[in-house]
Amino acid sequence: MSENTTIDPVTMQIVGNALASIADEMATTIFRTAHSTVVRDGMDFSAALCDARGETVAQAVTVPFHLGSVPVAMDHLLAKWGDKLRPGDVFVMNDPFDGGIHLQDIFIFRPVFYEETLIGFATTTAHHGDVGGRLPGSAACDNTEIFQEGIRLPWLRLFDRGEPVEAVFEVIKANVRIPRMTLGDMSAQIAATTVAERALQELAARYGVDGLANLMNGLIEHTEKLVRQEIAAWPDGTASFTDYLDSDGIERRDVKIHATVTIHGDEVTADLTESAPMVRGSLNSTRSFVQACVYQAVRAALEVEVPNTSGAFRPITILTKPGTIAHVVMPGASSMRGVTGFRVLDAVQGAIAQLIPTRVGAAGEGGNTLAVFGAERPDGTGRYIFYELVVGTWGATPRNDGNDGLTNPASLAANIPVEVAESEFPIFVESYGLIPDSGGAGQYRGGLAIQRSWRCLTPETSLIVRSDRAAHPPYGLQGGMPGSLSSNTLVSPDGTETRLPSMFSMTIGDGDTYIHHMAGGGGWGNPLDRDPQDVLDDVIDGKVSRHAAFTDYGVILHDDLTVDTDGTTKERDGRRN
Amino acid sequence: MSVRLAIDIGGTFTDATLIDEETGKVSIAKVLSTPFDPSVGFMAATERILTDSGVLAGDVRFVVHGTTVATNAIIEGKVARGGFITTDGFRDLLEIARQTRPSLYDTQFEKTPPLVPRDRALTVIERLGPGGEVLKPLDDASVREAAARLRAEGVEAVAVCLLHAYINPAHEKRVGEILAEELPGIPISLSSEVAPEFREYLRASTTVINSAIRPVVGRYLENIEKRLAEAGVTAELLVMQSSGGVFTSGAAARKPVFMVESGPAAGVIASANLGSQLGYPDILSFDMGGTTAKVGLIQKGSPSITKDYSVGSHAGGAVGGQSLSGYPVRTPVIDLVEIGAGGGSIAWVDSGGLLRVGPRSAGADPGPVCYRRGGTDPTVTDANVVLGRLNPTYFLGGEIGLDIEGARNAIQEKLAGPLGLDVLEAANGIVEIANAAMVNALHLISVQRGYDPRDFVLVAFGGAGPVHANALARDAEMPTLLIPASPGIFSATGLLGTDLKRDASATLMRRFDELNAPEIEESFRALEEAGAAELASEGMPREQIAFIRQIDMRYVGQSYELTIPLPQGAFDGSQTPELLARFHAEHDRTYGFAAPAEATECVSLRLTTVGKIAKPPLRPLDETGITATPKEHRQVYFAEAGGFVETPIYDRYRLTAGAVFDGPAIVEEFDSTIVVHPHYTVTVDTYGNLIIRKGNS
Repeated sequence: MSENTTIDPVTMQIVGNALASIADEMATTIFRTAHSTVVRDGMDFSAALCDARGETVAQAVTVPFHLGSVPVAMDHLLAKWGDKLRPGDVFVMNDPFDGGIHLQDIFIFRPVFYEETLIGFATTTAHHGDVGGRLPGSAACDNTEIFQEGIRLPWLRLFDRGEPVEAVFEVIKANVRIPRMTLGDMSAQIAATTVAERALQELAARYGVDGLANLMNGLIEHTEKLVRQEIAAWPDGTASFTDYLDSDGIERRDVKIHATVTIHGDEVTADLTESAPMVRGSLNSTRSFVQACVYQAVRAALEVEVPNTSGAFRPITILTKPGTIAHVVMPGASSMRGVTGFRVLDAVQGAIAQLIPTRVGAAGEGGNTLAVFGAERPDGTGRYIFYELVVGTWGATPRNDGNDGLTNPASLAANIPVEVAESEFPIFVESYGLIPDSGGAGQYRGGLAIQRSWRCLTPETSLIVRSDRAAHPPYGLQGGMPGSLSSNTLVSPDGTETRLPSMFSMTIGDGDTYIHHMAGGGGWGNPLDRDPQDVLDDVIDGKVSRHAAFTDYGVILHDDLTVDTDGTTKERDGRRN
Repeated sequence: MSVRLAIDIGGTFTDATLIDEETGKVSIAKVLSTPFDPSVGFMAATERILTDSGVLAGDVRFVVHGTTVATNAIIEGKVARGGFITTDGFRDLLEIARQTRPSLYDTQFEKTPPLVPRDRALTVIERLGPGGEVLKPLDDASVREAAARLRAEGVEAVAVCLLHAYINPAHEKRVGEILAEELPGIPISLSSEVAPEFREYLRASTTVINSAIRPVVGRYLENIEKRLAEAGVTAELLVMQSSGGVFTSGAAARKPVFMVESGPAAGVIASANLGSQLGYPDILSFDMGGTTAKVGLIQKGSPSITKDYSVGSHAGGAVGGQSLSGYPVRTPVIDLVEIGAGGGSIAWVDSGGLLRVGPRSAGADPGPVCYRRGGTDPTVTDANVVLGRLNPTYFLGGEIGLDIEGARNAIQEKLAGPLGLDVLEAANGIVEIANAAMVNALHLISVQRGYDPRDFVLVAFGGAGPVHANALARDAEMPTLLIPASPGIFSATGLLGTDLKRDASATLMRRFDELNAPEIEESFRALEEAGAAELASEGMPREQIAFIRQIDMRYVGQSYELTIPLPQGAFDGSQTPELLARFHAEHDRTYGFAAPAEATECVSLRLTTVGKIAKPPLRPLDETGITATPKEHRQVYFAEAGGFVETPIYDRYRLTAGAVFDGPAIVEEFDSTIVVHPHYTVTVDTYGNLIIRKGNS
């Protein structure tokens, strides 16, 4: 094989696999050594590798929303520090106005050198349980400006040629509620970048600095080519979709997210400029985070398997308008913008579904629910913050029922085991399960909704909740029905029930139980086309009631739980006419 | 005379190995596996080897069995019609699982369905707190009600996992008693007995797997014992566990979840035993067959063990060794990295014009193109044939004639043409990509766990392992490669040298600064008594029983533990500084940092009870002599030599102890082919193992 061909199909494949393996090694390090439940059990973190120009060349199997935000974070880092990078340096940032995506997500990037030459970057992002601010857990829907949301770190040097910059550590320590947790998770991130540094240097030793750079670039271009080829095969066209958030973060109101998607040749443009103006609460998204959402939506529609590099982003253009919910400007609050991201994803997918119907599934739960519990421990050992990440369910796809209880395609969260939660926090999980009849009916059924409830065992517990889809259910597609709505209820020890909105911050008392029902996934296709045997199986499993089998699907069952085939055909024919 | 017999059942072949306990003489036999009823192949192999070696059935002292029957039952869905019982409010524990998925952008992903469907997942009224305290007493009536429903459903096995039962088993025990009354004859698996571990889903999954495979494994082992008895073999039947020790068939029938990785474990144990006997304590084992390659790590003679393992998971999708799909098992398993790169892995060109290998495999049917069984997709084996590395007329001793033209045409048409490469570049590319994936696997098992592969000896086996091993040793910069005799059946020999082993654990969550030494000592004593009693009841003399004590530890605030061996002797607290030092050092090795100023805590106590079984002696080659004479020469492709090179071909059975020769060279034997690259030297040791090192003689 000659040295100067642009693509050596063998070596590039080998290096691509090696880079992906390094990224996964970084993720492993974070996962195993982190201190907070949100990172180590909830898996809300990510890891990626970039080349010397800052282009992503590999991503670990971690949160896509983080990964798609790396390019903008990198642009800011390079603009500020690009000519001052030195071996042994490590940089930290969480500022949404300097390349971040909200203050909770702390980015830690390490430039990697081979001898004196920059060969790439090891990048990690982790969601931190507390970064200071007005409430425990920092993120709250009713924060109204960034200054309430915690410590703000523009890109700063965290290690200077291998030595910690103590001033930065001291400032962080003084501004967060549980320094051990925050610094512990940061140590995990730093350790991951060290692991990647060593591995990248080995690759440079093997392939040469220039050789490695060429291979990385080749990998990016290869990715771009694959993505452009597939987009070119999609029909040209334009479609729009509108979805809504339940709240502006403070009170109930419909907040519009509007996406117009255009497929033209081998490129896709997503226009979010007609979305609602910035809201009072903290749901405002950075442009970079919206970019990540659009990347995810397009990426998910691809049939071809492509390497996880920034080449996949190149054929995609995103339009946002500063001052809207999809493009926050100073001093807008953004800590709870995650839900906006999920809705941008839903809207963009809703538009894409009209252009390539067989590649897009119905809407899932609408995003992880966050429930942040914080209080003084009753045994006097200090304060606790329990960052509960409730993981949702999938919409039906053009080929399958929605998965009952699975992390959103744009997230990679895991649930927090009940035994972990109860052992570590003065809290009691009362129940956790699926809700029957909550999946949108369809030829393929939407995933069942998740319910989880918690009883607090401290006199005054601060509870911050970010949920959604209590007013606007996850949509179905191609005749499929929407999933069920979400709900929040507080039950006091005397049995009094209080309905709560989708988003709130409040203080609850000893023995109060907070019950959360997430939304169900949307269905795909006409429910009357669903195989009656599948409906029966769901009835046997208790996922669909016999009543709903009739009302939603037109399926009539005998008392011995067999399908009344003739009756069902007649019933369905009657409804179709 | 007394002999040990080992039977290892694989996908294609059932291997039998027999060793004379006094002389160390080994006999081998290979018969086709019989997937419809594996016991048929088991007995065919047994009868063949007894006849061939002239050994009487009554001379067999024990029979050791490695089997994939447990894993296959799960993967193929041949599991018991099971029931599941858990705490009120958590019926969907199995259905929900951890809600994770193994791939970033796969929107067609489907969750692994639970082994017990929702209609047979029931709850009982009770609740324990995190300290094991009873918050709500067990309501017996709710158990009887659940039992009645399961009886009506006709279940064949029941698994029970109640919240916090790892710390207080009382409610589970009571549920077990009631179920035994209500469902006589139905096997009941309690989480507090099968895997008393923290984190409810992992514990439940382990218990449910145990329950689901109990009937099938029980019937299987019973059947084999009956047939052995009919054949006159009255020796005890021992079964390989996933952790590398053996247990009696009775114990296996009760806790089959401990044998889900019984098959692959044998190869690692064989490597460890051989290394110990030859003075190589640190080994990476490399086992490559038709569909996958598996690598394991042995340090100081002991295989590394993991507790994060899933049955039926997707290859690759794992973070932190924790698989994100499949059915997790929280019992000790030999740590293996398995990748979809085997002789049958298919090479293809993706739509962007890159050459790819696997994970799709041509398997045994239709197999590689060169097998002439209708395969049309070029595979790794086809590439090796085209490169001259495999002998078309001596594959499996000549039992299969290889079609070199067919292989070349397939590579030309499907790969070389579209890629604009010549056919040899394409064939070499296939091998290089497969090799790189395997070097990655070697890094995963070593570098990712904090070990430097250059400090290890590579032991290669399996039919395809020795074909690729020299290139792997070169690329991973490992100085010594060892190819054992009969690499194709090496795993079976591992079964002959294993100890009786029983793993037990107890959850004990305590911060180290609040640690109560007598409490730890007592817990270990209790585990030791139970372990010793169990092995003694299986006929193991007390003086041959030993214990290994370990503690799962972490920094306060972390959620994942490291398993640290306890210093010798009764635990009285004086060992704490040494234990902590070991923990910090292990954390540093594994993750690259330690935090000695941080508080640490104990999570679980682990005890391994070992019943020592004498290792069979190695048998030296009959003849010595430093000269090796090739049986023939042929053209073999080596990229580093610029193409085809006239290469000497050696017959392994004619190599003498002490013989030395240089690469490039090919060594052929019945069940494998050894490729020696240029600039490497082969030394035949006293026992016929090939030691391959860099440099010329």
